[in-house]
Amino acid sequence: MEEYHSTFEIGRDIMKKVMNEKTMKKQRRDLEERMKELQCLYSITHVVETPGITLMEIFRKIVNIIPQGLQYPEITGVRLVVEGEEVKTENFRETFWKHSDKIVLDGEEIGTLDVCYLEEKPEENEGAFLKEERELMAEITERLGRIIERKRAKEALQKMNLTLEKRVEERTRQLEDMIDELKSFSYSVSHDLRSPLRAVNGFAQILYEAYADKFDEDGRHYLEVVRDEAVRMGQLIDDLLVFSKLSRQDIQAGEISVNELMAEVIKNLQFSEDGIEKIRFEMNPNLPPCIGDLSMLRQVWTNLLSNAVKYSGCKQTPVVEAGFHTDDKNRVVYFVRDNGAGFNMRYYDKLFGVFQRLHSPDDFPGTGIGLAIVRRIVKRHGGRIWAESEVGKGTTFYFHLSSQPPEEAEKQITLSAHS
Amino acid sequence: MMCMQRTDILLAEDSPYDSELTLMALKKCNLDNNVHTAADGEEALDFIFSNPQPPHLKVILLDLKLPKINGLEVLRKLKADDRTKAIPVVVLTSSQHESDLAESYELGVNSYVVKPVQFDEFVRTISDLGLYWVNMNKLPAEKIPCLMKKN
Repeated sequence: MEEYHSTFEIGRDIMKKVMNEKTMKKQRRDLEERMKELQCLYSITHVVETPGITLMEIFRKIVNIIPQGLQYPEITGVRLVVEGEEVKTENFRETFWKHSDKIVLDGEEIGTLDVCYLEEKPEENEGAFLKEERELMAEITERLGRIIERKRAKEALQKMNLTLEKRVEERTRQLEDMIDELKSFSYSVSHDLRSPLRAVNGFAQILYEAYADKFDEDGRHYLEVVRDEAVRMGQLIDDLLVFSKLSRQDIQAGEISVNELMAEVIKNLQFSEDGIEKIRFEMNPNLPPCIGDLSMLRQVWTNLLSNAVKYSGCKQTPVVEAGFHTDDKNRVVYFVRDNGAGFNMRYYDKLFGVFQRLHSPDDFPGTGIGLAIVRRIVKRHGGRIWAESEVGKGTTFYFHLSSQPPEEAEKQITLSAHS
Repeated sequence: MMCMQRTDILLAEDSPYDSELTLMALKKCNLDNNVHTAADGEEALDFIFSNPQPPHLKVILLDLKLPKINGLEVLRKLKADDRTKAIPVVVLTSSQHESDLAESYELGVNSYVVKPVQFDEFVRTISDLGLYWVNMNKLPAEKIPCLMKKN
């Protein structure tokens, strides 16, 4: 029980209590106000982060959120002007009780935020707007500047992406058109060129058979040239067609038993290569399997082996070897070796050229496209082919397929098939 | 109804030179006597369908790129008609296009042969074809009203 000395003291205590209550009430009210302000800022952030929302939509939502953060939302009107565009609450009216803030972007003023009380506020305050309210609006205005900047940067980026996408689309369409043109071109070559060629070929031959005895030696020679060159032209066209088809064909990758493939190729060569009976084949029976397109790789082995057979036919004891070794990157490198005519390494860079030959057609027939075809196929499989040779001693061709491990190779092949 | 001279082979080929070479090749195996040539698709179809009783052919050698009506269309009509669907059709063409191959077999072609460019190969191919379809292959019995009338 307190001791009171006078009524004054009692009165003073009562006053203190009343004052504390009033202060507590005010403090509570202030806390509520701060909560409203924070809620207001949070709502604004939430709106801005809505996916796909446009700047105008953001503005419209903000002008309706702002009054909620102020003391008297029902009589608050808000107007936002950004670069001449105006967004305001329905109830907005320019009044005497107005507060304005500038919206600044990159140091430039691009708009204003106006907040007006539509009637005199019911309570006595320092000016129309509380300090806290003014601070809130300054904060909002600053954020608006940044929001606008970010949104605009994003929109510029999207526009650029769209232009880029359109350009890619156009370019793809151009390329597809080109591919179609090439396809119909090669169809035209196969179809339209072969018909006249067949006629030249046929009639030159018939002429020769039926009338050779009526020609003198020169005449016969001319006829022979016409006939022989027509034959050669046919071969060149056929080879060109095979070669051009290669780039456009899709690779159908699968696991291939190289040993089986080689056996099949050698069996087929018995029919097409003269003098193959003389050849001694030494095939490594344990060639590792590879991943690739079966028909294309069959072509590789056929070309390499038939070349080996062809160019070693001149030797007394022709030997054709096939095997493999592993290189320093753990890749399987296959090789085909013959002990035949060989070629001069000085002309190495012509070796894989289209229709390039390092030997005379009289010595060794051929159009010079076999190796170009092999190289293209090996390249499409992500690999590499090279050769070593010595004139009179023989030649070895080495190649490896994709440098990726087998699991990756298939993915790599499918990707490069469309390049 | 006209009683036609017997025709074994219908050759539908637009190139006169290919035509000539084919006939020469057929001559080498004595098959050139009963051959009718048509220079375009319309002529080919006319030869077959202008009479209610189509000719009893041993084989039709059909080029694909024919003017007016192309080879595939002719093939389609031949295989769609009960009177003619049994006649063996051999497509004889320069085209090695997968699509042509696929569609020909889809329409029921009996054989698809690519014309060789080299003459000796060409001769060999045509004579092999001729000998096979005219001499070796068997067809169901024909009903020839005019012959029956003769008897």
